[in-house]
Amino acid sequence: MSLAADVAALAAKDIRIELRTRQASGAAAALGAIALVLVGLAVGPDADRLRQLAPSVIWIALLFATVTVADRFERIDRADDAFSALWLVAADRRAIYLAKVVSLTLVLGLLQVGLWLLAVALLNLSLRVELLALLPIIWLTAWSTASVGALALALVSAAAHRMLLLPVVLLPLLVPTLVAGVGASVALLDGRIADAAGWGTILLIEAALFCGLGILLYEAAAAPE
Amino acid sequence: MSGLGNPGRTLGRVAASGSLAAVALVVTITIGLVGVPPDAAQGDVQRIMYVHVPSAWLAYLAFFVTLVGGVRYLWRRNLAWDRVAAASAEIGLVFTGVAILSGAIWGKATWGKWWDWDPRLTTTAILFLIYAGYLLLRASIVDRHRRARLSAVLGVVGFVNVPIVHFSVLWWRGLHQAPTVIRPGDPTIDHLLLAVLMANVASFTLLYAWLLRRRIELETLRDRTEITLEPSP
Repeated sequence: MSLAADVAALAAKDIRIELRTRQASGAAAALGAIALVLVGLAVGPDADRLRQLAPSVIWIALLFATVTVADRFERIDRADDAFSALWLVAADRRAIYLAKVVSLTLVLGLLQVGLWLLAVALLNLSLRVELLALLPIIWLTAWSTASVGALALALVSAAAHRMLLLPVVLLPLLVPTLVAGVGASVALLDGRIADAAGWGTILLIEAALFCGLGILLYEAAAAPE
Repeated sequence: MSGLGNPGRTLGRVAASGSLAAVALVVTITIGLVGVPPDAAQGDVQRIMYVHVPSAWLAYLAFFVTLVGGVRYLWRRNLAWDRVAAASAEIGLVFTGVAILSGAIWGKATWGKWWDWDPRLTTTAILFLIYAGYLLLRASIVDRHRRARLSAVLGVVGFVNVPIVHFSVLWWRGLHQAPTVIRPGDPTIDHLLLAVLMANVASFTLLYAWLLRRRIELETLRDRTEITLEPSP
């Protein structure tokens, strides 16, 4: 099988499991929704302030949701030593990494779409045609987050206190993505399309850089003993 | 690289290099504190630059050495390179902390506050957290080769933040001044102050070299102890 076929087959496996169980996306969506409601309660009924805070709240909710989704995906792979079998079967180990990036990107992208729709209702965002430009930003952010997330998962999988260590390793690495994602969405909400495009370019560079590093380093990070 | 072939000679070299670093530090910091005139705009408080800038430089250097050590380990699978990477990351973390603390003191005197969510300050704090995560990851893995392999990967990915820290003052507006030495064009600092600053950078680098050597030796001893204590199969 070619690399692309391996990636498609492995990503389809992850997505099929998620569609059947809905554990990762369900928990992450609940976490994101709770974050939005809690911020609304903490800030109070000040519509302007809620609108200003919306991008930051959404991206921070997404970061924590990423930890939940990534951990769930990893647990499924590691159960019953399935990962060792997968490692032996895969002709090209980069396919395992790229498949994880594809499936995480899909789940995190859809989660963001849901969070933005929820924010329209809860944080008084106005629906405008320009907001459609959020879609490429959402998918670029999801790609960048997934690229770092898949690598960070491999790094902590053998560590003691894995669940504590995952956010410690993952979240600081995601800060450039957070900054660019917040910058792009704030610019879009303010109607500054050119600024948003600049942040989008930065996101594209970050995503490509992290994905490239992941392809190069995944085998070293994930090889079972 | 272990440096432990002849303990007597090794101790002699370490003492000599430590003494050299100590003398150089005392001399250059003294010149910085009392030997050169104060900055025309900031006055005496600007003298903290002679600790702040070398600490920031050492953090960059230390994390670069961690990157090199990690790449070399992944290439050669020689634990000696892992020891270099780990030792340098620890020293880099300490000097990042010193840069943040000295920057906070300088900030209080010039900006009126200890901390600001300025791009340079924030990205430096993130750098600190990344390498704290690096050391935590190492501490949580028992197997030496696995620990070396995984931390090498994190050392490579974590280094991505170093150029972001350096160029953050050019990419985003903030309170922190733009680079004065490593920048396109001539340095924007008085030549005498620049010379003293460079002398301090050199003496801090000697201190780094000495600390790195000591730390590598300690790590080598720890590895030997682990090997000795490992149960035979």
